[in-house]
Amino acid sequence: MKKGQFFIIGVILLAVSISVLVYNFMTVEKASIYLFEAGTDHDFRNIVTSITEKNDQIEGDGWWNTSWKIRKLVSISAVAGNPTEINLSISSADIASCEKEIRVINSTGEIDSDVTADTGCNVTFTIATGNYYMYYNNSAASKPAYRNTVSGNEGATYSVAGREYIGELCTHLETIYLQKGIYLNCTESETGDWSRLNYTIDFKSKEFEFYGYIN
Amino acid sequence: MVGLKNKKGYVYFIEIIIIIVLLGIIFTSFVESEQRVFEYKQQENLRNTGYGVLHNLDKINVLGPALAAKNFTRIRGYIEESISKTDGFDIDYINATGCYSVNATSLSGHQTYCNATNASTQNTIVSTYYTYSRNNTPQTIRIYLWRKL
Repeated sequence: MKKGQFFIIGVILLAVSISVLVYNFMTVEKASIYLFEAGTDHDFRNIVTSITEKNDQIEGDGWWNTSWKIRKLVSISAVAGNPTEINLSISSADIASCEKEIRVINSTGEIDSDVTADTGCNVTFTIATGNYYMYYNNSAASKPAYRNTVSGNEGATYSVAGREYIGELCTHLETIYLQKGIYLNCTESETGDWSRLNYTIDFKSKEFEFYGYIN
Repeated sequence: MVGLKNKKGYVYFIEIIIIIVLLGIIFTSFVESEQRVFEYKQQENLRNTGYGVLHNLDKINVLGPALAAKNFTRIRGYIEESISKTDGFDIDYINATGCYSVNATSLSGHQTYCNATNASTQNTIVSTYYTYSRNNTPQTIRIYLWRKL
């Protein structure tokens, strides 16, 4: 073999070595970036934490049934005759049918109640002083067997608290993560005992993917 | 003989140059790589700090009441005391109606997309969300952090 050939072989080996080294360094650098740029775990942690805390709140507040997404607290301080008609001032955007959706719950559970009309949602039932929760916003609900369309006594003294809504978390999370370039598809469904909500999460970021239920 | 000697010297010279270049590439790549790892570690530490501060505010029952009352002065005060003096921060507030930059005492204009006013002037920033879901409607604080030094 001639000396010139050794030189050519040496140059080729060097070129190969340099290529391997450069490739290795690029790979190491990329691996380092992915290793330490792990912002995604905070994002996913935030999703899990907010969902579990929401469910803890729903459960802790004694939400009667998570299929009904909105409730209002009615506090009655004076009774002026029964049955009594309560004006709930429900927004038409929150309810499709008063006859089907309204449920009245006290400390013992669901009690019979009527409505004055299918829209407008004044509720008539036999009251005593104390607290009642009015649940609504469940378009899949059926009209209960006890329900009639009647009016009642309007003389009671009572206050109606603001609405409590348990159905906004998915929309909120989808909105904020869209702004961070992370794909998130979140849907709510009921658990078997209606005490918590199931959240189906489809999460895709640069480093991490998840599909499954969180509750 | 003289020509062959000169050629040998030329080959050795080329080999030495190649070795020096090779060593230079290796050393530069190594230093650069280490520097990048260090920077990313720093950024990840900042992100951890941001999330941790907001999480702790939630756990000591400050965040929920402050958000309910829109008391951002209190939130900013706690964050300021919790992070290093060499780090800067800014926050955005996001609720059902949109995203707001949070100035010292109040919410400034509604924006479609979040962009904290002070954070937008920094070169390298990290951000993380913390969502408080226990109030009637979910609310999120986006905290931006950067190193001042």
